[in-house]
Amino acid sequence: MLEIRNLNIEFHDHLVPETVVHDLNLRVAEGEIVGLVGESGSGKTMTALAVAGLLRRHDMQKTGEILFQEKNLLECGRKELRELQGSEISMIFQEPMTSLNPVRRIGWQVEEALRLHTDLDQKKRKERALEVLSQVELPDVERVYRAYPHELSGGMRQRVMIAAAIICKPKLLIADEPTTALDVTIQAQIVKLLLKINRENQVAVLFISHDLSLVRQLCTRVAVMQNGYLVEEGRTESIFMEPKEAYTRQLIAAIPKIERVD
Amino acid sequence: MKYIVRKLISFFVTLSLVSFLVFAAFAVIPGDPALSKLGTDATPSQLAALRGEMGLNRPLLVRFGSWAVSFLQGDMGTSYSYDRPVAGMILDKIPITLTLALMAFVLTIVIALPLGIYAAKHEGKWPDRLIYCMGQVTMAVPPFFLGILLTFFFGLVLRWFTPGGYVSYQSDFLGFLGYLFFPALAIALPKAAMALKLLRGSVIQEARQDYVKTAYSRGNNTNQVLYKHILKNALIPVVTFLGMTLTDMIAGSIIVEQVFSIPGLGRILMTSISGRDYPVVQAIIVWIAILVLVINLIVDPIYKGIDPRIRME
Repeated sequence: MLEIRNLNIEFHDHLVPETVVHDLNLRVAEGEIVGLVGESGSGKTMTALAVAGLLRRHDMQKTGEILFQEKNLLECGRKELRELQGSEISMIFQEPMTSLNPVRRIGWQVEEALRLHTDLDQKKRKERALEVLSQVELPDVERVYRAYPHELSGGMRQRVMIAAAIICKPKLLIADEPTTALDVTIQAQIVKLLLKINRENQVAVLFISHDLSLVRQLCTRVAVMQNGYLVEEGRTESIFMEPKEAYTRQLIAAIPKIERVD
Repeated sequence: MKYIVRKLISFFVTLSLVSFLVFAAFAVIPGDPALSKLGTDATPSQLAALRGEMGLNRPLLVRFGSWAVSFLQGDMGTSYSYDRPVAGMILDKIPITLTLALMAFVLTIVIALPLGIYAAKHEGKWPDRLIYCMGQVTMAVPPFFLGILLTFFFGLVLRWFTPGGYVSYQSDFLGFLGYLFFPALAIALPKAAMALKLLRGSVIQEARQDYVKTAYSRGNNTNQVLYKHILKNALIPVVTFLGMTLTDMIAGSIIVEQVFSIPGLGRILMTSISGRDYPVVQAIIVWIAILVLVINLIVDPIYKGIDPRIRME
């Protein structure tokens, strides 16, 4: 469903152009969860933003192909891209505290993609919004619908972000470090929720993270990036059990383990 | 409910303090109302008799108390200079000054909002720079001088209005509004320049927030992101500024009324201060304080409407 071919992303905001993604090839099949891992600056977020159509700066150049349902997103016009954003391709971000508009009600924000992409009336939109708010396991959805972001906790806001992202039943959900800003128990809940949504909605997930233990719980396949290059890719278990690259072994070795003191 | 009660209490406390301070100030500053009424030829005994008649020999607190009670009953005293009730002299002037201030306020918004948004949308390009330069120049010019320039250019050169040809609101309301346009513009321009600079910066800053990326990811175009997401956030500091400006504009009106010969509160205030006509001055200042306090009462719920994080407590 998503196929990235020879993607290069180059910035021209300095005297010497800087390439942040080199020749990247990656596939995400329908309903699949693929993890994209690597340290900060490895190019994983740039790749995600490029797929979501959110890299539109004039001082950068993207070459290669991003094929989504056989359509090359890099060749799409802005209008064509906007029709896919929020309806076919959705994205959730790292910071739930700041990713929601502070002066708009949750209901308004969750319904936004419906307002932009469908002709549903207010009543139908609200019904659907309450439905997805329940699907992301928020309590008292009527109250949440009327609330403002500052009235919710970080974990609740990330659930709201997920609800808003899936309201139009997209084919692809890009989750850019969605648990990094949350504490550990909430992280586990969000990962479980993403798994549930993946199964219930048959939505493919591109899960960007530097946390390999989460990736292992969630993803069927993993791609490892370093300095803008894809260094290794394969099924999650084989990557974890038999990593081929030294860098992947280092990343796996860096996962904190709980050991007995005696 | 609790909020309204508290606001009303603070309203009356502030008003009492302002009126007492004005009262006390006139007791302290040099100048004798009896002397300015009778002139320098008056004998000391004539002056003493008049002071007694005016009640100036009584203690300050007693005078304040009796003034406050009369004011609450609608009696603002009698003008020393004109021997007329103050209420009759100033009540019909209040609408003039208030209209001028409100018109200036509306013009500020009408000028600042579109230009601020336009400048932010074209950040760093020539329209932005042009608006910036014009704003800097306008901000540096005080309203009364701007008033003189406007009178010269639009009144004497282009003859769009007749300088000094004030039209009373009782006889021709539209003509009255027309005459107030340029004075209001003189008050509005420097404030509009400030507000647009603030709005431009605020829009540019908000455009870098995370929620903007979220809005784009849902398929909004640039205008939808700007008007449905950024603007309401960007307006928060601007509304705070405009709230303070509105009270400033009443003070601004008083000065600009002089330049454009508008018979509002400003004119009568100036003549009363120089003539030591304390009852008139006192009444005008208390009325201005009432206007300012009422404006603040109205502005608070507007903040709340625009920023849900503010609690009305």
